[in-house]
Amino acid sequence: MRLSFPSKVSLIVALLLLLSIFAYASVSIASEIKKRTEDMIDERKSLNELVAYSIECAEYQTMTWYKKYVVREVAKPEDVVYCRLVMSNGEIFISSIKEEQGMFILDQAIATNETVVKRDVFNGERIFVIVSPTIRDHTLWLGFSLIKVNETVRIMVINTLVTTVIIVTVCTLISYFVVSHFLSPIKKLKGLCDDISQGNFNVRSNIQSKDEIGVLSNTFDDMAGKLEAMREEIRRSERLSAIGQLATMVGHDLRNPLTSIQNANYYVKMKLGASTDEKVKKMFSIVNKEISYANRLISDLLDFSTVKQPKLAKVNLASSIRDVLAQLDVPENVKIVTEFSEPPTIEADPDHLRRVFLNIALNGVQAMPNGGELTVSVKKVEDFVEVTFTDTGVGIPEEDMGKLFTPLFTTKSKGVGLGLCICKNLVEAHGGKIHVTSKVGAGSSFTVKLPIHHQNKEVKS
Amino acid sequence: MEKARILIVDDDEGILETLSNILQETDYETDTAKSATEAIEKSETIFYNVALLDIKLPDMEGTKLLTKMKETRPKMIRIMITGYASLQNAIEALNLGADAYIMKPLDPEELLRVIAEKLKIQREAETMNQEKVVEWIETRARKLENTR
Repeated sequence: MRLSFPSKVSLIVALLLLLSIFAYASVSIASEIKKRTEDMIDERKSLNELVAYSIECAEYQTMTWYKKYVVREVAKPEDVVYCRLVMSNGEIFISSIKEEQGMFILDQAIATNETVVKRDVFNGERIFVIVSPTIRDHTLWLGFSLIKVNETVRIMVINTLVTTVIIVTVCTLISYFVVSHFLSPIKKLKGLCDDISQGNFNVRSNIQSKDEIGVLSNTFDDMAGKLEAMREEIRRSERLSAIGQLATMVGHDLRNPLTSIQNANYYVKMKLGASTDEKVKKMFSIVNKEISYANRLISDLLDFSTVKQPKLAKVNLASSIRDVLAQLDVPENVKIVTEFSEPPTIEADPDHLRRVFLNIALNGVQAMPNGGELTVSVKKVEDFVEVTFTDTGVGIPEEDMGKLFTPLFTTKSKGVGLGLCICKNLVEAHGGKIHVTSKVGAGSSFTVKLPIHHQNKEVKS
Repeated sequence: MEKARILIVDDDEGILETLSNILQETDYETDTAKSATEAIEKSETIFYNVALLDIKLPDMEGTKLLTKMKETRPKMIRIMITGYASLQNAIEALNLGADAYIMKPLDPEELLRVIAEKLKIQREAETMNQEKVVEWIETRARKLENTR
């Protein structure tokens, strides 16, 4: 049989209560029986002694009717079984029982002249017998049962039972409801777990309590939050992977028309030769520029969608950076400053490094439409080098800082927002990190932190 | 001197036509094939100095076509054209016997430069062969003369 937790607890409470009440009741009833029995014996004993003493005193010596009267009176109470005056030879002189026969000798009582109390059985009933000597060597026998005591005990037992039933019922119910109440947050959590298994992660228990259940709820809420974030992450990466697959397909296919356009452009240029006017030449160069821009976009998409392992080689940072800066199309109002003498040679993929540096430097230049200064510095920190590109451009608003490296985020009118994301992937594949600080209106600073050596990786010299 | 013949293999008509025009304008003879099968057929009947092979063809991988053509026409210059450059692709193509490797969207100037360069090497090798033949004939002639 399956029992709910509150039922189990209340059952245990009921059992414990029954056990303790039973123990207490049996001890107290036993002592009560003993005390009442002793009291009764004491009471009957003194009565019997008094009657025995007085029944044959000188005044009533010859008054048999009086003796009979006393014996009858003494035997009157319900619990008194008999009362008899026995002669010294053991014969009955007077008895409350009609025509009673027999010999009743108890030497002890006469010999010691003291009252004797003994147990006996009369008509199958267990009784107490009190034998007191009289002044004329007779003995007065008083037999009584314990029905009065038994009656009292019976009432006590009934009372105890009724009380027990009431107490146990009330306590069981109370414990059931109290435990149920304590368990209500767990029920709530169970419901939330069901929600989560159904795929709804946007659930929180919000139980404000400092006990174990409160701790559990907090942990649960944490877990739900993390699950939600994780699912978001999975969805995002699924979406990105879909974009990546699409990009690869589209990118490949776009290169064919681009090739045709480029070829056609080249052919027309060939045909027209040097005779064309400046405007036509300008048009040709625009077509070429736009084709190479489109091609760069495709390359970005393809780079983004394929995971590239760096092919490590020894790279001279200084010349790598200088190459990149030389490639850069720098407007006249932008000044490039290099702050490094001879930075260390590091183990990295030269192509990847060039891409990263070019992208960051290009961003820096583009951030300064009104001119400024792009400073490139290299610093060695323990086993790492830090290459920092600092511009005096427009800066990055606080709310955009977190999204800088997320794919498809861009503030530029041209571009799909993959550049920094690719940079981050490339740098992280090297075991490095990119760090950004920025202030709106003052400029931004991108630091690429790269390890100088790689362990357990093949390096081409 | 005879014009060099170039076979362009690509399934994209735009590329075939524009490339043909550029190459013809640069004074080459051109022929086109839209599939690997067509390319093999054509190269078996006519000798081409150069073959431009797209890496992705409808009926066969460009790299496979490359190996086949290396067997049938070992002297032909084979230039691979690919949409996406990866070191792996390049190494594979060169290992399989490509003479050069060019990326789409191909820069016509670079293509022309590579073709011219490779043709020059081919011609030199040919001349060398011719010179050897001439030399051999001359030696034989001299020997004949001497024995006479």
